[in-house]
Amino acid sequence: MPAETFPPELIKRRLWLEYQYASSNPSNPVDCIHNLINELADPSLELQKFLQDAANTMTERLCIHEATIGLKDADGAFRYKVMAGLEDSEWEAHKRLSYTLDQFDNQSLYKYKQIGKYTRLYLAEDNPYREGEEETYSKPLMLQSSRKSLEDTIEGDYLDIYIYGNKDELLGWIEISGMKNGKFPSSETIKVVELLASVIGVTLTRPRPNVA
Amino acid sequence: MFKKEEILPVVEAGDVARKLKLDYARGVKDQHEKAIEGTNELWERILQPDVEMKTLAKEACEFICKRFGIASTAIALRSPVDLKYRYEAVAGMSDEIVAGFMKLSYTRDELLNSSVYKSHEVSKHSCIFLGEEHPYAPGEEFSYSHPGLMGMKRRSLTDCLEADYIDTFILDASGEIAGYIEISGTRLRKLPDTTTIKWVELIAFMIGAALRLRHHG
Repeated sequence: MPAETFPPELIKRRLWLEYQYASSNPSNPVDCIHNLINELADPSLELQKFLQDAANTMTERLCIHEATIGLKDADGAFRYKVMAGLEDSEWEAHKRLSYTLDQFDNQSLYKYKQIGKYTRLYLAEDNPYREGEEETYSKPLMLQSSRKSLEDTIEGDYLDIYIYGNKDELLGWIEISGMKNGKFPSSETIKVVELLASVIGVTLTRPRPNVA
Repeated sequence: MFKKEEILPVVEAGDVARKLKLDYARGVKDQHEKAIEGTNELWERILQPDVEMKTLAKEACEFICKRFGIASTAIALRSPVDLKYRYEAVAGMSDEIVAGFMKLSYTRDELLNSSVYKSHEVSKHSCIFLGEEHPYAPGEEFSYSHPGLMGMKRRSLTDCLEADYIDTFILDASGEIAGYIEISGTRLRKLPDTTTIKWVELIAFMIGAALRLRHHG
């Protein structure tokens, strides 16, 4: 019995449909962030919009509860630029803040645990907030929260994932809370966010006007 | 300023942090997590300015072959001197075939010549070339590891033939083609799945950034 032949057009159509379906129904990390990579092909891409899409991707596709992205400005200070999942009042409080490079590594200000090369964990018990940041989280909620297992997050926990550019220059950071189910992000989710930080770092290496 | 005793932890903060760090470093990793780690490591290498493009291209080719089960991978880049595309690195083929690859060069028009290289678009950045349509110019037959298999028939939609390949374009800042990543089928003789194609597109994007950082072209 002769083998069935498959027209090239059919092979192409199957692959194309599978590609489009995966884009609309992400089932793995690269599907979740691939839409962002497609945006980057546009030479006239607006950085602010891209960052907002990145934040939305983290909350919508990676199921992270809250996400913010901050960048280094022309004056050398680091400021929050976009957010997803925060209360409006908390975001307004974030927008008023700025940081120097030294403050990122200051353990007396922000006690952290290094999780990976790019990622630091800040736990509510260590009160990783300085004066002026009180409105960026809900202190009453933090005081009421209790951690019942090693996987549970409570109000006040967060992770920072750093965005690096050429020659180890710190260009910004992604800040995420726990997952929407009240747990810490899995190591895979953390690594996806690190990958996203790399993608943002790539974007920032392109000559662009400053983000507002 | 609140007092630590106002929070009544059931578990110690130190234990929480230790567990997360341990899971991150030594937890069971599936193929996705390994792909993410490898891609992040590639980006770290890209950010080291003393690593040459040829070395990066080679590492990227080897990573794609190893992590995604691709039989062979090649990366070609546009020369800043004559604007022709030449292979910088090949993985998964014999030294003899690789030497042949390195002698090839294409102008932009030759690269996009659909009468010689008939392709089908998979996405904005990737095209598939199918063996039934003889997607190779005369003299390029050496580039196949098993030329004796070239006449085989495709028995299913996911089967890969010896002459099948997928090109993913590497773009420069203005959206022009700065190079391409070329992958053949998988070692199981199947066409790469779309997840693999998307990973290759991500890597192509990073290679594009590497070119910009090194002012290549």
